[in-house]
Amino acid sequence: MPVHIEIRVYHGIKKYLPAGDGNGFCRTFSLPDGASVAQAISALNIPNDEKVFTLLNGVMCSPDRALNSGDVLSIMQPAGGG
Amino acid sequence: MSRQVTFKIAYLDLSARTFTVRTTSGSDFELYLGGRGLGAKLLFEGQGKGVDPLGPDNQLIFTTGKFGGTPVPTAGQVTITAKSPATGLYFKSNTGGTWAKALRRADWDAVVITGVSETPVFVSIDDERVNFHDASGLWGRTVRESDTEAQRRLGGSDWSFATIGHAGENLVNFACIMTSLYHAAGRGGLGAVMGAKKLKSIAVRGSGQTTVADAVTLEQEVQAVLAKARQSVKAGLLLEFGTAATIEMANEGGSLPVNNFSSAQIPGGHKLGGTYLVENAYMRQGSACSACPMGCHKHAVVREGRYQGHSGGPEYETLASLGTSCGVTDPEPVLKGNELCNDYGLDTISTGGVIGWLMESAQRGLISSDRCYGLDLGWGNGQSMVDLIHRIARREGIGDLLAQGTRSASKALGGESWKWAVQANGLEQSRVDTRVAKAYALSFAVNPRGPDHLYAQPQAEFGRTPEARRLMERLMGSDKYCNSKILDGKPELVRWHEDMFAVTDSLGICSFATTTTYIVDESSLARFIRAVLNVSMSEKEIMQAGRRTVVLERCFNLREDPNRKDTLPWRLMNEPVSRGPHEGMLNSKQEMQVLLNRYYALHGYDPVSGRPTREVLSSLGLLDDVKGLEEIII
Repeated sequence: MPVHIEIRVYHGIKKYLPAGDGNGFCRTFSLPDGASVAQAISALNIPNDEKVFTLLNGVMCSPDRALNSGDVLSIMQPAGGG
Repeated sequence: MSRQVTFKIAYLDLSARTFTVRTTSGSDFELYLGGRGLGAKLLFEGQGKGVDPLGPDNQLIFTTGKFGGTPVPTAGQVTITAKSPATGLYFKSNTGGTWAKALRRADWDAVVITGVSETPVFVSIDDERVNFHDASGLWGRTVRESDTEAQRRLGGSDWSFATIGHAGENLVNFACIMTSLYHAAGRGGLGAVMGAKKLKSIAVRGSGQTTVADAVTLEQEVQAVLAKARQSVKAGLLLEFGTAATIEMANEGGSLPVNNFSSAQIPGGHKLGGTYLVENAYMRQGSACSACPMGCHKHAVVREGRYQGHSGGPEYETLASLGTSCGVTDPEPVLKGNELCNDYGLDTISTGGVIGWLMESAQRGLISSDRCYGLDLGWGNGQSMVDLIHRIARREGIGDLLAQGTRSASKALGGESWKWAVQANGLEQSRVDTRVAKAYALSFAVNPRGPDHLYAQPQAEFGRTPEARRLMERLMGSDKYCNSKILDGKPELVRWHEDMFAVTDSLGICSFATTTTYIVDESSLARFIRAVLNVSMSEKEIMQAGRRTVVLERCFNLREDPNRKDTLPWRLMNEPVSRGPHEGMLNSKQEMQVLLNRYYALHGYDPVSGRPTREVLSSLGLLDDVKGLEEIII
């Protein structure tokens, strides 16, 4: 059974989303069962050397963490400063 | 190499309309590096305990650093120091732009202002020529209007201004001083100190060039730092999106103050983030401070509709205070609010803080909308937020209560409204939910300004970048301490950040270079000091100069109010995060005591009171150097 997750993409990472994606910051995404955070990033064609920062359901996670349906994966660059 | 570096200070007495010159000699550079450190010493020695912050004896001190006017990256900062009307304590506030460079080109290191003018005045500093001008026609105008008119009167186009708006004139407790469309010395009400002196603006220009000792070596080090900036992801984000890029991270990560810190995430919050604002053409590239490669400031535009206008900013703090802290996620009223705060000269953090407090007070039935011009004070009403800014700046109606800040306003309103006044020691908390960030929690509690981020900024606790993790590994032997929810390693991290932030402010560069991107470190600073001033200082000596300033600032507060506590707002210490990924987290009294105990031990302070001891003051050389310091020793 595939897993259906919500992906939210921000900052310069958005350029990797397909053109004409509409509201590109947030979309649902289907991945094979057992797919990891790293595989989701790869499926979006985000290069390995791009310095992304990810949160899974709001919490920092390791790239090999397996995804479950209903997860929210936020992909952005590590911002800071006020 | 000699360490005899002198500082040239202009003393302006607004009561007598006189100015005198003092040149320091001796060891002030070696001990404090200048800038903020010099300002702390001048404040401590130049006024005793109990001075009225809005009276003639409160000094308003502008200090640049010795890097100001040089090509050292980000060397454009000025520190403004005074006793704050908001807290009644020591306050320093920094701002960038071109004012610091202009002062240095005029061959001044600092300006100290005392007295109160009989009538509104503005000052011009044109190289060695200092003049007092009638401010009729500027007084009562916005910052932008005033600067335009002052420029017209002075002639020429190369003036830099430090100016207050209506809020400073009306002594709003959190009035700020603006040094450009983009740059605010925001916090602590120093704009009200200036307004109480009836000083509208200080215009500066200089025809000199800042000389350096070794231009070739300086250029090599500059290029090395620029190369690091090009590699730094954070520097790139600041350039592209400004600090608004932090909104997305905070909202996704459940650490964004929402509805007066009663929640930590909000649907639609991304519309206040840098990505959305840039993509929808609300924000575009703005301005860089002198010598800065990061150019974080953005220019915001609302093209049509009732919020039409343009402004410098907004910063993360502004978006989180005027925006999500009031439940507002529509960017247009927030951008308008930013514009108004800049034009009126209001600190956006405290403004959003006090409006959020009012909204909650109304929703809890403590104040009716009849008292508030019939405004709808539900969360998310951006128009109400904008309307209230006008009222606060002009102290009209309910605005007069709000202009006192949340500590005083909640005392006046009564009931339990003090519980949701998210302030400590009189300062509204910066927009960081410290319940989920323990190093920030400690740094806010011990900050002599109050619960605020511009004193330490211990970003490395999140470990989001390689530079952050390397710093933690250097301090603690492992990057496993890069976890914002744990207590271990955080006092050490805070101490380093405090010392480095003080060094940064004292040399006159920007904390984004040293404590956010970490592209300028101690070794780089040592090379810069040698190249600019022909002074040799070790990394340890440089950081100790920072420590000396931090301790002296603490001493000013102890002299002023021995009962001042290192603490956080009641809400953050008593109400856990209500929902989201960090549900249940709290800055409990027990946790805070663990952090404070370790922090006091690291500094050699008294373990119970947190007071610097005679040994600490002596070992730092403060007891020998600072007049009157003996009296704070128990």
